[in-house]
Amino acid sequence: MSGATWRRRTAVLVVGLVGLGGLTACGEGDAIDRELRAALGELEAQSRTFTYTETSEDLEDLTVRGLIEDDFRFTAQVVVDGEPLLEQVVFDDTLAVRFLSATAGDGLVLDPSAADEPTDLDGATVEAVLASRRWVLDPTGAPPASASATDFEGVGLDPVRDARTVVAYVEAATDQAAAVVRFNADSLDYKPSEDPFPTPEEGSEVVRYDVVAPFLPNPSAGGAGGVVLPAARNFRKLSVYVEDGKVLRITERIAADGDLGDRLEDYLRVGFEETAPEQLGRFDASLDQAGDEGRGTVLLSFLNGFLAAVGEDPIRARTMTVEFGDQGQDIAVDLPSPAVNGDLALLLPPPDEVEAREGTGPDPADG
Amino acid sequence: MNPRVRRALGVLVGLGALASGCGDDAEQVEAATVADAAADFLPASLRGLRVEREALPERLASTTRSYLDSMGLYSLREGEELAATMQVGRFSDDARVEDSEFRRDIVNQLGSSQPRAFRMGDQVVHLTTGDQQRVAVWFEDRFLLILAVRDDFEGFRGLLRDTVELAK
Repeated sequence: MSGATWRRRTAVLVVGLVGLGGLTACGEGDAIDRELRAALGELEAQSRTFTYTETSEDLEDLTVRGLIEDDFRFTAQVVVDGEPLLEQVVFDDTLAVRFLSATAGDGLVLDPSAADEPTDLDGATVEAVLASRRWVLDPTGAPPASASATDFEGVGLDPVRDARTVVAYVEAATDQAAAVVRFNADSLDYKPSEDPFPTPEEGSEVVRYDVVAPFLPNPSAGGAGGVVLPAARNFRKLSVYVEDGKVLRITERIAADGDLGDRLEDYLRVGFEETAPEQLGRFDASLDQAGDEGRGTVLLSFLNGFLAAVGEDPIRARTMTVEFGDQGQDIAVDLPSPAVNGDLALLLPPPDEVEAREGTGPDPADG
Repeated sequence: MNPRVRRALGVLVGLGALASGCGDDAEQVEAATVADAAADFLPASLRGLRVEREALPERLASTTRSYLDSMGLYSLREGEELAATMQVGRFSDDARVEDSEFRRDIVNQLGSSQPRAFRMGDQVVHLTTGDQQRVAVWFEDRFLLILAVRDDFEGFRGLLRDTVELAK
C-alpha cells in the first residue's frame, strides 16, 4: 500500500472512530440497543399482519403479504412485478400451497424428481394439481420455524421465509452492527445525503432506530488467516420505526453508494494493487463505463469476485421494507378448503443439495 | 418400565439434577421428597395416541433438595410403540418461577442442543432435541411441562399444540 493511501485510510479510520464515539455515550448506546430489542421482542410476541417488499437485481418488485398467528401458523401471498404468484398456509405440521399464476411452476419447482408424486385426486400428480391452481395440502410439509443468524446467509432464496423471519434477521443484523442509535437530524454524524430512508415527521412520536454498519476492514489486515473481506454487514443501512414501543416498519438498504462506495473503491484499489495490479486498468475502465448510476453495482460485483475466490457468499444489493399491522389482534389462520392432499417436496431443493449446503444437524422445530 | 420410557426419562432425570444446581442454595428446599403427581389435564387418548401414566423411577421419586415438589410421567403410545412422553413437575413454593433467569437456567439445562424459544398461541415453548427425540419445554403457572416426542413421529407440532392447550 502506498504511503498516501495509508495516510488517507488512517485518517478515515481515526475520523470514523471519533465519529462513532460521538454517536452515543457507551451506557446510552446499550440502553438504545435494549430499547430496540425490547420493541422487536414485543412484535414477535404478537399476532400481526405484514407487507414485505424487496427490490434487488434479481427481482425488480417483490411483495409478500401475510398473517402471522404465531410461529407455527401463518399465511403468505407472493406477488412478483404486480403478478400474484403463490399462496401458502402453514398450520402447525401442515403446509398448503396454491399457485396463482400459470408460470409459477417455472421458478418454484426446485426438485422436478418429486413432481410426479401422486395425490389423493385420482390420477393427478402434485405438479398437475398445482398447475390447475388448486390448493395442495401436505400434512407434514411445514417448513422449519427457526431462524438463527447463520440462517440468513441464504436471504433471497425464499421470500416467504425472509418475510416471516425478518425480526430475527434484524436481531442478527443488530448483533453485527457497530452501534444502534436513535435518529437525530442534529447529530454531527448525520449526513442527509447518505440517508436513504424517510425521517420521522416533526412532532410525531415515532422513534427511528438506526443500525450502524461497521467500517470496512483494512484490506492489508488479516495476517496468516488471510485477508478480511467486507461482508453484507458493512454495506447495510437499516432502520426500525417504533411508536409507543410498537414496531411499525423496518427498512434496509444494502448497497455500495455514496461514501460507502468511495470507501469500497479505495478498498478494492488497494486489493488490486497488492494482489493483481494488472487488473487495475480493467477495474477503472468498468467504473468509467458504469458512470455514477451503475458505480455501486460494479464495485459490488468486483468485491463479489474476491468473495467467490475465497468461497464466501456474494453480497446481494437490495432495498427491503416491511410494514406491520393489526398487532395483537385476534388473527386466526385456517387451512384452505377444498384442497388435494399430496407431497409438496417438489417445492424444496433436492435432499442431497440441502445436505451439501446445510449439513444434517437436527432442527428442534422441524416436525 | 418400557426401556424407551426409561431413556426418555433422561430429560426428567436431568431436571432432577438441575434442581439442586440452580440459583442460590439457600433458596432450595431442604430434604423434600418429590411426590408423584397426576396431570389431570391429559385425556385417555390424544391424536390417536393412548395416554398412560407411568411410575416414576425410584431414584427420581426419592430426589431431595429439589425445586419440584411433585412430578408425573405419562407415555403416549401408537399401538404398543412409544411415540412420546409427557412429564409434569410442580415447583415448590421456594422456586422463583416468575423469574425469567430462573426459567432460562432450567431450560438451558434440558436437551442436548441449544433450546430455541417459539410462540405457540400465547405460550412460549422452548424447543430442543434429545436422544432421537424432539423436546418441548414450557411453563404454566407453577408447573414445568416437558413433551419428548420420537423424532420420526409425524405431527410433533400438532401434538405439542394440543398439550399446550390442554395444560392451560
